[in-house]
Amino acid sequence: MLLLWQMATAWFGWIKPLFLASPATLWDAFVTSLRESYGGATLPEHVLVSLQEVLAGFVGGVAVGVPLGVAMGWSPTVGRTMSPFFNTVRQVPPLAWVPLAVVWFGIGFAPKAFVIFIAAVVPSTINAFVGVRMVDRDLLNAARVFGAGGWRLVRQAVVPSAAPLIFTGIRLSLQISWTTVVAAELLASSAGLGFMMVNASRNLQPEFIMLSMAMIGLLGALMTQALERLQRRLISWEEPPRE
Amino acid sequence: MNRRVLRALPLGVVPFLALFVLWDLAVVTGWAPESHIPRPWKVISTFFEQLVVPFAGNTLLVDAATSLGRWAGGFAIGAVIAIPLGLVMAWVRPVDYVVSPVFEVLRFIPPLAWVPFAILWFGIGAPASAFVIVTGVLPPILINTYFGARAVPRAFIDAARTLATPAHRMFLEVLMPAALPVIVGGIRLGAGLGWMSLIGSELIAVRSGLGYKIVIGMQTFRPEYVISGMVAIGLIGFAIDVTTRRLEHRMLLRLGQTA
Repeated sequence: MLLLWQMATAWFGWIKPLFLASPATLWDAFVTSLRESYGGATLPEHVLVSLQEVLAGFVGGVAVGVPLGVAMGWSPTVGRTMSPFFNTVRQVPPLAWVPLAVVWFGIGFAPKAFVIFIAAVVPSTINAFVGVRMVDRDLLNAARVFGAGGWRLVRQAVVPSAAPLIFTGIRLSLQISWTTVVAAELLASSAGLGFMMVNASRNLQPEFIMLSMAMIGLLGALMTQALERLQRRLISWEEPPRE
Repeated sequence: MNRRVLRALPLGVVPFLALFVLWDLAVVTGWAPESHIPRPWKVISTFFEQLVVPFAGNTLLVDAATSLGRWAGGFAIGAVIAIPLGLVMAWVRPVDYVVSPVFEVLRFIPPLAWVPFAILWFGIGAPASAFVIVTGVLPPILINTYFGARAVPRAFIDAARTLATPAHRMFLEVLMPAALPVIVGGIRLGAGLGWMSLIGSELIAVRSGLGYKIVIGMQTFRPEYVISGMVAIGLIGFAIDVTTRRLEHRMLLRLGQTA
């Protein structure tokens, strides 16, 4: 594949260099951008900007989504109150929030963290909700027989048995956070991997577009893997559900 | 409060009411500047006004039709590529060996990350947007078709083979129907992702449609247009979700496999 790609782009000129960069130029772009600034920052700096935005939105989304989902799944009253609202709001794709976030917060860290938060809340909430709903009734009754009730029942019986699904939700939240940050940066930003892409696209430099795409793919894959590993470590009493 | 009373109350309305009241209060008391957050009734009136008065070049209805048409086109292209490719990958080893690694690498790149390339290759316009939608629609359908066809019982294939079934009939009459329930699930996922990718691509790569409308609302600093555009996007997304769910359910019923 790599050989074919190099042949098509560099050696025989089947594909114009303006459309697709050759592997060699891509490598050059990678090496230079490590040290020299591209679009106002070096590659590691761009990566750092995107990572910070993702982290803030993702942590916020999980911190709100998981307790909300657990509460909605556990208490019918909370469920009936919040479900219609939640299901209405989540019909709007996270990306459609970007223009509004820009109007409210301008360009920079805040609007991205906000949009990512909105994107990340949804899978965490849904999975926590379903997880709690699916907890074995017999288990709950057994816990009640042993005198567990209220808060203790939720903490020691409900959350642990819903944990695999909750964790899947957290992983999906991370994935969508990563997808969203790129798109948000494409539209309005002055740094980050998405910005690097727009800049490269305006200057007709396919090698830098590909470089940022590769970084996005790589980091996305690494983060998902790390979370999967964490899941196996933390929830050792159950196999992680496969997608 | 009495449990029975609690159960009879339409609780689902509460958060909506709370949102509207807090929202309006925030604007009226001056806590949030009205230039940033218009009052709720203004958003509602803007929404209906846009049905007849054009904004960013078109009325809301025309832009919604444009977006839906684009979505349908991209979705059709994605499905037409993904379903046959998935079937072939599941049953022809060499194809699987070539396509799978490429796909494994590409699948971690979010659809919207293709936007700059789409613009570079196709220029600003409908083809660029269609390309981005295809990158959103294709993966879920391909994955589901692949695993659906992989899970077809060996006995079906062997039975067909003993009857000397030609290859094209093998695909159309054995693999495809047996994998259909799983494929339909992928189609539903793809439809939703396609709509999201479409909106994302319209924010950048095209000069019409609902996504473009909210960007213009942003650039001209008119949040009431942004919010009413978001409402339209949400409504259509919801309609797509309900329709595909219903189709899936009906198809599974017909196949005698209610999930």
